[in-house]
Amino acid sequence: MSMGRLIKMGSMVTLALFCGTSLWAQGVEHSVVKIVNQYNAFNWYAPWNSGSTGKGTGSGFLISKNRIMTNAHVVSDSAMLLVFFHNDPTPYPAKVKAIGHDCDLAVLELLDPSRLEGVPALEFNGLPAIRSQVFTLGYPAGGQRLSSTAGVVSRIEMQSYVHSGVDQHLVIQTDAAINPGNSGGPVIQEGRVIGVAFQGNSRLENMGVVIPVEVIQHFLTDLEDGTYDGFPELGTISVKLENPAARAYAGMSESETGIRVEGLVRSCSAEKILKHGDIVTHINDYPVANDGTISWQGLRLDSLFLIDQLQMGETVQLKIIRDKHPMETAVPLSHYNPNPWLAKRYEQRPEYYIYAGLVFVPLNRETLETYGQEWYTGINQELIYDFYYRPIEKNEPFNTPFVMQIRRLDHAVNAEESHFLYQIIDTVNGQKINTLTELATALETGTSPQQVIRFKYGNTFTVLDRKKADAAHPEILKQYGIPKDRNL
Amino acid sequence: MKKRNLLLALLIGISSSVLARPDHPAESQLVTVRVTYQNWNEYRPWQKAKPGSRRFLGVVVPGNRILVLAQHLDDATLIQVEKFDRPPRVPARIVHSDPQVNLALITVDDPSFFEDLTPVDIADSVEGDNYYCASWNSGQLVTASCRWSRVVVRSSFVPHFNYAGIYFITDLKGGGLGEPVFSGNKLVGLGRSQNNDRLIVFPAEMIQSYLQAVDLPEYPGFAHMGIGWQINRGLAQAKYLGLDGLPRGIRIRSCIEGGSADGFLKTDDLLLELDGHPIDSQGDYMHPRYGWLDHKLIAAEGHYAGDLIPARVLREGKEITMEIPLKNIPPSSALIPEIRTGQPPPYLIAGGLVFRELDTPYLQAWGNEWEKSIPARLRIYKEMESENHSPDARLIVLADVFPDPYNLGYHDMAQNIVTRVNGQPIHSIADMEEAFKHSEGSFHVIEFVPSYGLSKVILDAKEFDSATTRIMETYQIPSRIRLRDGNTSGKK
Repeated sequence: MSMGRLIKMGSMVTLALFCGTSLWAQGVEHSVVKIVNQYNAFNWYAPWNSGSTGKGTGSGFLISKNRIMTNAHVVSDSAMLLVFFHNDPTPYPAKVKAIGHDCDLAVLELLDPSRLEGVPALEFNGLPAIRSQVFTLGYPAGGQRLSSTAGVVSRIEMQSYVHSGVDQHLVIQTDAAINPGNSGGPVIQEGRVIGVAFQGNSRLENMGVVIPVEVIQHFLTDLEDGTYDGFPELGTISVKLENPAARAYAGMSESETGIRVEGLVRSCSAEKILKHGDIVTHINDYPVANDGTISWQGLRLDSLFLIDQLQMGETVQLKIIRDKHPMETAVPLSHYNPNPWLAKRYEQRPEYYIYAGLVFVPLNRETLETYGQEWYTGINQELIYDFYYRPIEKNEPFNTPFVMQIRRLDHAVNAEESHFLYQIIDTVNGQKINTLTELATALETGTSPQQVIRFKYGNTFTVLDRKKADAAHPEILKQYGIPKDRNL
Repeated sequence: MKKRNLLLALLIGISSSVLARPDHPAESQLVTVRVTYQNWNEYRPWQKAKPGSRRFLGVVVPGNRILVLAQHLDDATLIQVEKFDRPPRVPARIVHSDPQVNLALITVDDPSFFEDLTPVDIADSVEGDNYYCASWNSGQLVTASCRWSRVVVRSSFVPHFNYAGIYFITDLKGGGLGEPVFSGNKLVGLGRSQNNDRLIVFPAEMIQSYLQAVDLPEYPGFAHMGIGWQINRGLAQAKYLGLDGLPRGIRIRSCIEGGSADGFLKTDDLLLELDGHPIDSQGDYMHPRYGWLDHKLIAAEGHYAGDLIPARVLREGKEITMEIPLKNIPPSSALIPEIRTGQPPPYLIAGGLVFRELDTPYLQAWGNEWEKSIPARLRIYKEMESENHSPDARLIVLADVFPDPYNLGYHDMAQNIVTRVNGQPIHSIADMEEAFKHSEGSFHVIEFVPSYGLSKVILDAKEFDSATTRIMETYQIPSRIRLRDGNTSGKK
């Protein structure tokens, strides 16, 4: 038992000072760094331009020889990274060694690792107990000195990771304050790291969210072969079976519990192995409750946590009830995961193609957001349907590419012609279009006197005079200051 | 009695002279209408919302009738009229209403009510000078000058109807309640809405058409072309569509099924001329009195449904002419109707699950910003499919779940759209009622449009009726089902 726990009625401040003091004695402050990210976030609306640049700060900590762990969002879109050590004004240039946007973690290394000699790497611990005390270390609000806050573990559960916008993993929730700048800093208990501070919740007061060691270890294990693959996806839409009639309908006895497979994501791991209506009763021998949870180390966690424990390429064992008969099956977790397709994109040079002033881009989360803040409700809803709902309702692959036009750079050759923004392109001169490359080929290879661009919904089209458009193209690029007409 | 009447007359006479109010003929042409109304509670369609009241204006027209804006009569539980904006308030009833046109006629059954009223003299069109509007305010006739600003072809908020909205700048405050606008003593329009100092006026010619239509043996309704189109300003597009010379006409994208143009116009047709009016490349025509206006007015102004109108079309490079029979497109023919025209929402309670037919009033119950706040999938339906021609079939939405152990596990799945019940496709409440009579063994199986969550609800068929009764009792629901009028099945 640690000394900290002996102070029964001690206030949080006392505790923090106490723990802090004990850790300072270990020299931990040398292992926790401030990270300054000079970022260059590409502009998906004017993809040929320099992006928006600026400076963000976060925290990080040494985990082994020249490996500094931090959050992915601290170092995303980085053009230059500087690391600062406690009480040392010297900036140390660093680079991203690996980044996992799906779990908001990254590993950096210093370009010159000599500064790290003698700096102790922090060690990891397991999941902390609920209500046990933890404290954070980091550089909130970009300050120069290491700062610490303390709190208790209030909850451990699966939650959304806002950085990617689409992923859910295990988190530790604590009432230790986590402020901007704390991101990427270690959360410590008994001298060891139990997680990485990474997000707050603006709707709740005094609530900090921490990435637990289970997720960190997954990230580090994934990296052992030198590349980051990300978390695997079983690809099932599973639903609770709280209603007794739903269980009886599936042929389950009173003692059996499980979840029903309501949908299978196209091309995902389970697609060819499970069927609609299958009842999953066990995942890797963990019995699944009717509410979709499993019992793990005394916690009730969403059963998807068990998939999160595995790497792509590994196999998950399932016990299921199919057509009222129990059976066992195994699902190899494939490398296909639709989530990155739907997620926000970082470090990616935007793809685009310009023809005679018409600016075309692929349909993705970033290009949807170019519509403006109210893109989700304000944009042509066919885009929302095709991007988010069609794959589920029509059982089509999420990663079906689509092309849309988002701008027109006005010129006499196009200004009077009908044009349609934020609509998906169906065909060009009769050829089906799904990618920018197909679009470029269709526009650049034909001989018809007009270029006819037909859109997928509403029977709309745009027609351009081919000869005039071809001739105007370089002139438009010049007039609008566009150095390159494509990044395919 | 006689003496008292005389006294009253004297008193009125005296008070009039004291006020020294100039006489105005509108005093006997303009009445105040008061309506108590009660909307349906869209989430709990067996009950009504809190009653409210509206005060607006009506003008007296021949035949002891009063012309009002139809929208003000929606969900009326009591209609009263007042002369001279003074008591007594006399009960009135609806004679005719056309929500698309947004005009209605009401009357008072006692003919003596009209003895000291005079029908207004309606102009043939909005022409003249020194425009002004009139209104009642605390028993006094108020007039305000109106300055002609411009004309805009507007779409009625109940589709599908268009009218020439005359924009007047006025110093009237809070208008748009049916204020008559005059030039001299002739009515040139009714104030339909007001935004700051801009009064949008429904024009005299449309009022004339409406009144004439009401007096026909059968009300024909107003027509709409029912086309989706795009402009044809570009030379490249015009050439592609086979047009030589300067661009003109509009490109037809699609025709509303069951609408006027359905079966006559085709995708990629260029509509060059309608009813003798050449249509320019952005869809406008030269209106004989108001200048360049949107061609959408052509089918509505001076025509009724049933009329034939000539059209000149360029199809595959050849000019052809045709006569298109105009049709009315009733709001109820859409998959997600814009209004229910006075009908209550059809619904069904099944094991505590509340199903109802999806319509726009339901979505509007999300409040002022409903288009932003409604669930995403319903927004997509509304935008992509609401106008699909569907006179009988509706989408059925799970509006709510009244929690009970019987429906455990299904409490959070409201706003999903039903596809099948016990294997039967569902297009109406009537379909649902029928499907629940045929359980799948000892279960009722309700399937919804697939989503990121639950899309199949299983209920115990044996306990279904008793659970429904118990839940209705617990939550004080008086009635289990309401079918759409005249609908026995929504099958397409």
